[in-house]
Amino acid sequence: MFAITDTTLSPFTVFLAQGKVVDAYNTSSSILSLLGETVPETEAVTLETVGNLIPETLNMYAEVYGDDWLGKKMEDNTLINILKFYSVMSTAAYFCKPSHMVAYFVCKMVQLSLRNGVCQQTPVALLFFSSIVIRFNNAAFVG
Amino acid sequence: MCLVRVYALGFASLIHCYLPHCWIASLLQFHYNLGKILCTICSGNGKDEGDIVLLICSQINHGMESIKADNLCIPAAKLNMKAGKKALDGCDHKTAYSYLDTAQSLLPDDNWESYYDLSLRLNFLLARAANSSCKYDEAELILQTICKRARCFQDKLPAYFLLVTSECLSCLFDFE
Repeated sequence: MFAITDTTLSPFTVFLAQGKVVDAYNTSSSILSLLGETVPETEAVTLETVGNLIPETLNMYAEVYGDDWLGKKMEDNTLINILKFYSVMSTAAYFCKPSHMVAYFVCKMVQLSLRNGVCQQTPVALLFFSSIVIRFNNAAFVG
Repeated sequence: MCLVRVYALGFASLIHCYLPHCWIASLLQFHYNLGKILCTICSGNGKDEGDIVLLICSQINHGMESIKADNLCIPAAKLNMKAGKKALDGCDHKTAYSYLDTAQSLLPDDNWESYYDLSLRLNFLLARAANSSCKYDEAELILQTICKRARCFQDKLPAYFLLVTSECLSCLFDFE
C-alpha cells in the first residue's frame, strides 16, 4: 500500500502519522456505532473469527452475485455512509491494527453490499476482498 | 456565451492598457460593473451561468468595497461559492479555494446563526478545496468547526468522513 523510501524518516514523524491514523480509526469507530453498527474491540476479533468470516463471505458471494444483484442499487443513505466509514476504517486499520482486522472490516463491507445492493464503495470492497482471498488461500494471511 | 466571454476579456484588457495609473479605483469599479452586467445577462430568467460564472466572479471580486457598499455580500458569496464548486468539479482546487475563501470573507461574523445552510455548504467545500491543495491543517480546522457548529448528526457526517479520510491520507504522505 505504501513504500518507505525516505531513509531519514524520524521516529517523531512516524509517531505523528500513527497518532493521526489512530484518531481516524477511533473517529470512524464512534461514527459507525452512532450509525447502528457494532464495532468489536481488537481483542474480540480473533484469527479464527476472520478465518470463518472469509469463507462465509465467499459463499454469500456465490449465492448472491448475478445480474439481479448488479442491477440492485443501494438506496439507503445510512447504509452507504456505513460502507464509506468501513472503507476508511479498513485503511486506518492497515496502519494501526493487526492485519486480520483489515480483513474483518472488508468482509463486513462485502457482506453489506451483497445483502443490500451496489453502491459507490462496492467495487473497492470487492477489490480489497479479492486481495484478502488470495492471501488467505496462500495461507500467508493466517500465519 | 463564448462570444460574451471573448468580448468581455478583450474589452477589459483594452481598458487596462489605456487607463492612467491613478484611475485604478475607477478601473476596479469598471470590473465590478462589468461583472454585474455579465451576471444579469447570463443568469436572466433563472438560467444557469455555466462556466462563465468563473469570469463573472473574478470581475465582481475586483469591487469588494462596492459589494459591501451595495449590500450585496450574500449574493456575491453565493456566486463565489458557485464558482468554487464549478472549479472543484473541474479539479482546479487552488482556484476553487480562492473563490471559496472570498465567499467566506463576505459572510458576516454570525454566519452560522444567520445563514446556516450556506455556511455549512461553503465550509465543507472550502475544506475539500483546502484538503486537495495540500492545506491539511487548515482543512482539519475547518472540518472541526463544521463538526462543532453543525446542528444535527446528518450534517456532520460528510465533515467527519472527509476528516478521517484526510487523516489516513496524511499518514500515507508522511511515510512517502
